[in-house]
Amino acid sequence: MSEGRLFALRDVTKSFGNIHAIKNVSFEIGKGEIVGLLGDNGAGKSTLIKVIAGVHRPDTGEIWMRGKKVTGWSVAKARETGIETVFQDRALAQQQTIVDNMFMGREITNRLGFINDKKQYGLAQEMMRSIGFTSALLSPMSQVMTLSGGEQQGIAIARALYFNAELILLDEPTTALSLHETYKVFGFSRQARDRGSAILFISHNIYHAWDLCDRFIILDRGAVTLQAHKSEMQNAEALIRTMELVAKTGQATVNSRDEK
Amino acid sequence: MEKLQTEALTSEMGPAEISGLPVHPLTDGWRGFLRRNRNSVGALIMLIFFWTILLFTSKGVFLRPVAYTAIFTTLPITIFLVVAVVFTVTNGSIDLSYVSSIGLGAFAFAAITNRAGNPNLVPWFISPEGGPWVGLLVAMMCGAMVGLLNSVLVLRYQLTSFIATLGVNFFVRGVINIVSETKGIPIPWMADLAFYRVCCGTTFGTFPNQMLWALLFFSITWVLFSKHKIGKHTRIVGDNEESAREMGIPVNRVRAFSYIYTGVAASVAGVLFVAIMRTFWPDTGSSYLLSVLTAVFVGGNPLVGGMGTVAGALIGSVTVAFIETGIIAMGFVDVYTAFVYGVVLIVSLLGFRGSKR
Repeated sequence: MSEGRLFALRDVTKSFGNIHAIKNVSFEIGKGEIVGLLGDNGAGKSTLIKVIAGVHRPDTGEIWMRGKKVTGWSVAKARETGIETVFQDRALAQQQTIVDNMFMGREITNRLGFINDKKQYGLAQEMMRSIGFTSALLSPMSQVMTLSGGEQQGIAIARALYFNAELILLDEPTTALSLHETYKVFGFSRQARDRGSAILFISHNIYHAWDLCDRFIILDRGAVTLQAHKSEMQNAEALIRTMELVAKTGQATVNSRDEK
Repeated sequence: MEKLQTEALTSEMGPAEISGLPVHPLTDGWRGFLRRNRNSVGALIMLIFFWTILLFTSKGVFLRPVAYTAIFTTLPITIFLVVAVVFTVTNGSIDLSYVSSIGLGAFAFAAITNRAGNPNLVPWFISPEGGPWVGLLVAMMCGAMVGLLNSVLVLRYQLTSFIATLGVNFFVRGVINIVSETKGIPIPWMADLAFYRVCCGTTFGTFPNQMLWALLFFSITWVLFSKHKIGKHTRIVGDNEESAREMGIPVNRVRAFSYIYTGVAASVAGVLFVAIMRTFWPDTGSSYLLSVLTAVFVGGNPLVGGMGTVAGALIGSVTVAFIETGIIAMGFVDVYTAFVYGVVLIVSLLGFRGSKR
């Protein structure tokens, strides 16, 4: 995996006051890999995603991208280096237009910072078509608050895919979606993988994660307790049993090579 | 609610063939324009509404051009304030310190102009003609400092903008009172200066120059707000600060910009005030608290943030100026001003409530 390595965390910690949300977390993500980040509520999944996305700066530890250590971590830096995120709250601005949301924080501007409205409008229209927004009532100038929950999620995902990110973080992207929409999200994810992007996928739904992911990282109380390939597990039920074990004991091994 | 919406979506998200550009009946053409600009259009309707009333009730004052020349003499001061405040209101915070930024700018400008041009004092290193220009520059720097102070309190120390800027407002007014020893600074020779002719003279007939400067400032602000990244970011920060952060928008920089921009604009308004009135008073600017906020909201800017309109703010300041003049023209005494403001504000807000889709 070291050859195809895209992204790595080394001994990353993050505390909020006395709460140690992330404790010495290290893992790697290879190119074109879909990795499931699993764990119980409060395990630190979302905090970890926010650290990788640059929203929170880690207290200690290193972040590596394409074999290079990155310093001065921030959202802008993360996006610049090719990490896009679909946050759990979708990170949309409800009163703004679809165009403004798609290019939020990455506006297409000239050197002086003036926005190229025409170009953004055209690209937004293209993006909307690619995710299947064909209703005549929806235009790039529609306010996001007029969209349904699934459509809003579509915007958030389209935004992450658009910039050809090499690593896409999906934090609970299937929450509150219908089955049809969930499969659509899976479809987008596989498409992105086929294009060469790696994906870090968070879900409460283990079956969703099992369907989509090649590898799993299980987080418990802020620390990585297990990393395993799908091939090392029998099925989704085995994964669930492992998760239960983790929740009870705080540690676990993969069942297929169970030494205990 | 989520469930209902997603059900409706599944039927729309199926595969479909599209050829050519889709037409969007709700966002294209004049309907889209009206929809996007409903707040400023509402403000315009409100202006026409109040103007019509004034035409009939002000004993013909509003039929004579001289009334407008009078209004346009002092309106620019309000425009500088109102237009800049849109940035703060839109990013979801409020800045009350502009009131004393006017005073500080006015004081810096008056003190330097007076010192440079006073024949009774020892000649200074600045010539009498150069005084007001240096004064303008120093005033703007003072305004920027007030903005910076607000930024530090709100962004670094996380104080609520309303309280922090209220405190800064008292603090700066206090500084003005102490430094000026609560004495006014009259500058009777103001009208002889080149600065005055450029700033407050007339170029086209009786149309006051300060109105041109105010319109220039309005245009710059409009372009920044509508066409520049900073305006887009301002709206997004006001709409959802967390989203803005998650998408890498420099939230603090956006907020700091609004405070500094308002501070500088307010200090320029103070300079204009002194130039037009030819005198400085320690309480210069105090009277603008009510009228500026009224103009911002009559202009169709909601208090909640996320949406804002610079054009609406301009229209709102015209409405307020008309009403100020109208109150006097209708023969009411000053006592009624607050009452009429109240009525206008309530009527406008009810009007905007009705215009929301």
